[in-house]
Amino acid sequence: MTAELNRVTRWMLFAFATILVSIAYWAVIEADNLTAREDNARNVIAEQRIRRGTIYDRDGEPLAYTRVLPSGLTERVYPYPESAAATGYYSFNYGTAGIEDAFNAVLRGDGGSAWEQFVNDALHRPQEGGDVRSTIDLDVQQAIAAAMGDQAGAVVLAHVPSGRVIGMVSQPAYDPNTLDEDWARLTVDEATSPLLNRVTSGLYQPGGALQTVTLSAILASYSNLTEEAGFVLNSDLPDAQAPVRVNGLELSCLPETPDEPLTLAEAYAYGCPAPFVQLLQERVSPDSLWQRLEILGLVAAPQINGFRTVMPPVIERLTASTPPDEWLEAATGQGALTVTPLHMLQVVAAIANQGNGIPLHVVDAIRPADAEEWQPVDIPLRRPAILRADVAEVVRLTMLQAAAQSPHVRAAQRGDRVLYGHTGISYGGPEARPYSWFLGFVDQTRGDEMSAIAAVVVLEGVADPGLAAQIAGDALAAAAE
Amino acid sequence: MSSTITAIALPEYDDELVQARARIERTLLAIAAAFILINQVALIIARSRSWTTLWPVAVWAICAAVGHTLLRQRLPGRDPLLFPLAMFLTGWGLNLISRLVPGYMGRQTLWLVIGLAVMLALTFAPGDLRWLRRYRYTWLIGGLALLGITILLGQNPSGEGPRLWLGFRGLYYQPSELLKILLVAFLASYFAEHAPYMRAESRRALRWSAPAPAFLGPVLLMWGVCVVVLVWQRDLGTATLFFLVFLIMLYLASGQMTLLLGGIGLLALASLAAAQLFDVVGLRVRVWLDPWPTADSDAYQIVQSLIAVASGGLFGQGIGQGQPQIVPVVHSDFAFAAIGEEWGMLGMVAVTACLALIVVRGMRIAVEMRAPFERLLAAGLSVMLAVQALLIMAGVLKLIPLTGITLPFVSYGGSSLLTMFVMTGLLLILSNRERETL
Repeated sequence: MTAELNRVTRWMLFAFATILVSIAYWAVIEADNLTAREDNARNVIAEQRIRRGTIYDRDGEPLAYTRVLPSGLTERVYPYPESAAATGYYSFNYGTAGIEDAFNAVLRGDGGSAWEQFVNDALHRPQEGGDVRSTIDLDVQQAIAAAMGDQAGAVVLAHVPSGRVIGMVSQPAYDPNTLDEDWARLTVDEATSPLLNRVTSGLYQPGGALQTVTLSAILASYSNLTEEAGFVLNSDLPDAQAPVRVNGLELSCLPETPDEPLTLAEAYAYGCPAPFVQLLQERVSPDSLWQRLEILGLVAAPQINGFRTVMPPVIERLTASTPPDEWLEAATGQGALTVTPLHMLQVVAAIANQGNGIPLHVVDAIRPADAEEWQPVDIPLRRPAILRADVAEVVRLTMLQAAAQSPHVRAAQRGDRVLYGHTGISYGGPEARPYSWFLGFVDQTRGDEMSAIAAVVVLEGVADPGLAAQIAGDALAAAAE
Repeated sequence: MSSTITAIALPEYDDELVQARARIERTLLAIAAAFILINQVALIIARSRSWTTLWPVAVWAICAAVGHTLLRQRLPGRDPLLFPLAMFLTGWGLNLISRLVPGYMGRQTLWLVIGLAVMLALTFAPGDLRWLRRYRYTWLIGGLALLGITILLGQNPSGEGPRLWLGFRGLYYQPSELLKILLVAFLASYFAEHAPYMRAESRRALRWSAPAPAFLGPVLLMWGVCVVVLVWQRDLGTATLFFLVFLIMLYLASGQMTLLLGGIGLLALASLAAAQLFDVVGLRVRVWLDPWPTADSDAYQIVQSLIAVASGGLFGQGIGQGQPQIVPVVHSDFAFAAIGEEWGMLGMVAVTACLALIVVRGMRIAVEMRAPFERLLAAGLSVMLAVQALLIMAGVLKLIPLTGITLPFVSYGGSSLLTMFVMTGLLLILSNRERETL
């Protein structure tokens, strides 16, 4: 029996050895494949333990931070939900948006060295994220939110020439603190779309707001503008207040336009479309107008450093063979072209900045988890000229005149600050819903260093551009302080 | 050691050797105690538990001390590794249960005390184990009667699933656990008596030999019992365990491979039939063959078990720092996977090595014994422990279909722990009798 006993012992040992080989197979060879599986709840738990960094406003006030629960899991806290258009949201279930999305890797603390990762894993330290310093000014943000009330629309302000976005509000808004609970409600209503960031992704008909662009195209058609500008802008134009019929709409000057002959500068101030249509037809070829739209970046996705923006729908290029009715729609901003407030902010900023574009950004520094000092974020230094300097200067002066003449633009005036502005109305959708626009800036130049704050406001369902200017005025006043 | 020592009667047994064995046992117990204490402290720190949850370790330490002292008196010539290994794995199991199901901690510790008490009580019984051999039919009939009662009146403490327990005032016992020991004792006794005839009256054909047809009766009877267990209780694990242990013991007694292979063939046939006839068994086989398409439903448990093992990697997450509770019923059926996650491959290898060492020591005791009954008893107990450990470990690692049996000493389960201590006690008694090796 001894031989059998020894044989059985060997079988047993062989079986135990097989177990050891199998352990090595699952715990080492197949480990990566298994742990990466979607149904590995450990990944979910690990994700919920990540201590995301804090998003600060420009003065160091936390706009979003992470609270660690007794269980070791975390929850994201947004003490100022009115900053949601900038901070966006972080939701375990629904992902990220805004700065939370653009700087997700920094906030999560991804990208550490393999050694750091190993040590953290070995010691079961939850992943520590880095902090992000935004350019948002909480006071401005709150002032905009207060001025907007319940009004749907978007407001965005940026410093010129640095490109720092000081405030951005999109309404209807959402509370990122209760995103998970509210998700069904927030996503069910396509008409209000609270989750749509109207500043970066809301596509609107530019309508009368396009007059700043068409004015710059008309002015650019003059080779010697310095000498001819006065004549171009200040000559009385017959039929300046004549209505323009576009696609079943009758476009005319804004309310409160004086019943008298108008110059081009006055037509711009009062938002009268006829002179612009006429001068475009006379002096600007469809190709030139299209090039102007391209150079100003209106047919591409707006650029804001790191932020996800939306590409406007691809539209047919304007050419000599473009049918007259389509050309008219394009010239009045009532055609296929749709823009975001961010697009228009770049146009306004270029006018304030001698024709140069500005590097729009909403975050200027990051601080990795283990660092004490803030590290600046790479922001493109090149500021391309998107308007001729003389064109920009003349448009700037025209906007200054508009602020003085137009009762609508004047609503944005606060104190004795030098205001440049323009207002317009556009009509969108099959029901021709009105949208009121304000585009403008206040000069803050001190000494030789040029400085301004540019603002764009668009209000949905409102046919009173004065209201848009009023909100812009409150926002600009808060920013200028 | 020389064989002359064997001849010396117990009172005159070499004192130096006794001391050396006691010293080894003490040292191993001290190492085990340090491991269990460190783990419990680590658990308290990791999970912010109260320091009072150290009490199971204190109970364990008292059990170890009392066990060591009494064994030293009662069985001075015992194997010095068996008791420390059993206590080490039990202590590790206490750590694990404390971590996974703190509410069951008290009950498992109570079963440790009961198990140890029964084991120590056995050492007061006559050392030649004649009582176990002589009344073999009584034991077997008693065991089968218990099984019959379980088939009729069995319960499941959780309210659903196989009804394998007999309950009394909240305390549940699984009679099939007791049957493991009774079966081994019966077979050891029966085969010890019949082994010479089985070997002598074998029929030879070419290279193969088989015993006379008269001896095939018990094989078929045993197969029948296992099929009954399988059919009535849908308990594939226990049925397979019983039958494999029986086959190996039959092989040890008869020396005939034909019986073993034929028996395994019968087992395979029964398993195939069961897979076709019973949903529970069929499901387990399908899940074993390809768990991935049903990883979120039928195969959830095994896939999560493998993910747990993978998550542990080489060194594990550390006690209290993994997420083994994601695996359903992790504290009993999947204790091995939980060890994989929190102690890593290293922990799993350690548990496997400890169990293999117990088996090897048991088989060695069998080899050293003179009387066929004692040989077969030691071998049967070792094989029982080995097959049980292998079935559950291989199931957790997807080497074979999963069977719901416990990992010896480690898993939660009072009946199983009690049985394991009784088996350890019998092996210790047998090792004390062989007195030859260190």
